Amino acid sequence: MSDKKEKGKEKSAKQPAKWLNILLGVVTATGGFLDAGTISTSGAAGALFGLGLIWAIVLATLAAILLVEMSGRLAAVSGRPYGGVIRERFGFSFYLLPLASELIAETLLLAAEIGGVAIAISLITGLSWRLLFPFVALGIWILLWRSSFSVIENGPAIIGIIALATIAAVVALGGPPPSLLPTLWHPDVQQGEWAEYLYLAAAIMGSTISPYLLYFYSSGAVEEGWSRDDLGLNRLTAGLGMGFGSLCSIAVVVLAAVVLRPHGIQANTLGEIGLPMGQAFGPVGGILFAVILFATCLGAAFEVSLSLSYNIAQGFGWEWGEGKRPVEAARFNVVLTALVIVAALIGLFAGDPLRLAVFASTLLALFLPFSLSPLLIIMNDREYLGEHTNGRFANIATIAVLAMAFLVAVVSIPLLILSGGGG
Amino acid sequence: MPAPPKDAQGGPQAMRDMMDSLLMTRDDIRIGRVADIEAVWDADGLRLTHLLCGPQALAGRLHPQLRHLARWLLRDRFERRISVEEIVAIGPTLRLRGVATDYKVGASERWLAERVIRHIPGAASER
Repeated sequence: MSDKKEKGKEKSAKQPAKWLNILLGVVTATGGFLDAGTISTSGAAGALFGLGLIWAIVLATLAAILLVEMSGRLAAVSGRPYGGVIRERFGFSFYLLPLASELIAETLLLAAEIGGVAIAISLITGLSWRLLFPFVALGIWILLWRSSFSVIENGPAIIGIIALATIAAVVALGGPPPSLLPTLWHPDVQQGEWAEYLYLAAAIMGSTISPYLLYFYSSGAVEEGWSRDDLGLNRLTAGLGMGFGSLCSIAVVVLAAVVLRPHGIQANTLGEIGLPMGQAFGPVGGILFAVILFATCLGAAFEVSLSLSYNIAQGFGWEWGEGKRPVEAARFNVVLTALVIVAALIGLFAGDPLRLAVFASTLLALFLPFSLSPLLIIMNDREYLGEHTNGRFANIATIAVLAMAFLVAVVSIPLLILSGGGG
Repeated sequence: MPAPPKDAQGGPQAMRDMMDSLLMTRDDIRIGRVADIEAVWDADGLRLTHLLCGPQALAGRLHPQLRHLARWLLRDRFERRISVEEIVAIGPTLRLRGVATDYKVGASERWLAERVIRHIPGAASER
């Protein structure tokens, strides 16, 4: 058989694997979209303002798709992750800005994600989530210590695909009633509620465009050895996966608007946000919500803790990776362990994980410009991206996202104070 | 010993390019990043002599006074220098001639692996 035929045969044999990879990538991104931050902000948005904040989710999702695609393209073409490139391209002094902001906001978010897993288990077992919290933190550390990257990335996300049940619940409840639809384009915000409305909009931006996604996604692409051949997979994963994921986020808003809002329930706890699932599917709905909460918060806890550790290790030039044995990347694993311990201590003494998640999301929104602005310059650097630098449309869209990020950052702290932290 | 690449021998541009570059050894181990550089003026002009790594050099990048403060606190205990002769290829990654154990940069990685990490069950197993 000629070489050409051999290559053709080899190529067709690889096709199913390629499509399986694409499917897995999309499933992972869909299941990994929700977390304690997005569930909390979406639930509160629906309960307080009906459909009036869905625009923020759509806008934030478009921004997240754009940014995640770029971070994946950077890793696939240059073989270098985002955190390390920031240090190389902008120097140590600048690198400290995104690093410090990520450390503050994401350690709080990690505490909230651990709390989310504890609450999910408590919804099923009836045990106090505070009692479960330290055991959950220990379990997460053990899984991080022992699991390979593909288990960390795909395991919770594949279970998290059950989040699509939120869309089924919207259908089962007959969708939003006609009286609610006008809140989609004319938000029902009473006098004195504007600060809370805008605060939640900022928190939705922070929870959806979480910079940890960029560090995690680009590091994951390097761990999995992506190359230029994976640019199509990158586009599909970012676009379809996050698009489907955001539908679940919107479904949580609709469920809260349909079920919680008429009863004046303000979605003050993660348990309250799960009530509509119970109304749609009975006792099974409650369990479904607990499983969704468990899988999405577990996946996010992995992603947040790893993205911070990746960022530090890459910034300082240390060995890193879940593919290596812990002794081969000692400093990386010490940082990872320390982060889980610190987040566990914060979570033990902080209040409800929902409040913590919304607060962390607002901090993320405040710090967005530090983490996102380097991307615009890096993605136009031929030394890293060769002929795959941004086109004009991508640059204009990135500038628009950055302008939005600066605006959200400027208003987030005054809104945090005016709204009393969303409370 | 063969000479380092010409670009690594000096020039302000080459020096600036090397700052913050990743240091990778012959056995493909990342041992750190360039925190600062040491150069001398001689008959040929400005010539790079050493790459510096460590908290004092990093503190100096933030503010010169911080370097003095860090030096007073740490007494040069964690500062490491690598001769420019060790560089075999330059770019965002600086490839070094030796293997990781040849350099004091990255010694903390080995210290943590041997003294701390190795004692935790599963530390030496494949994931």
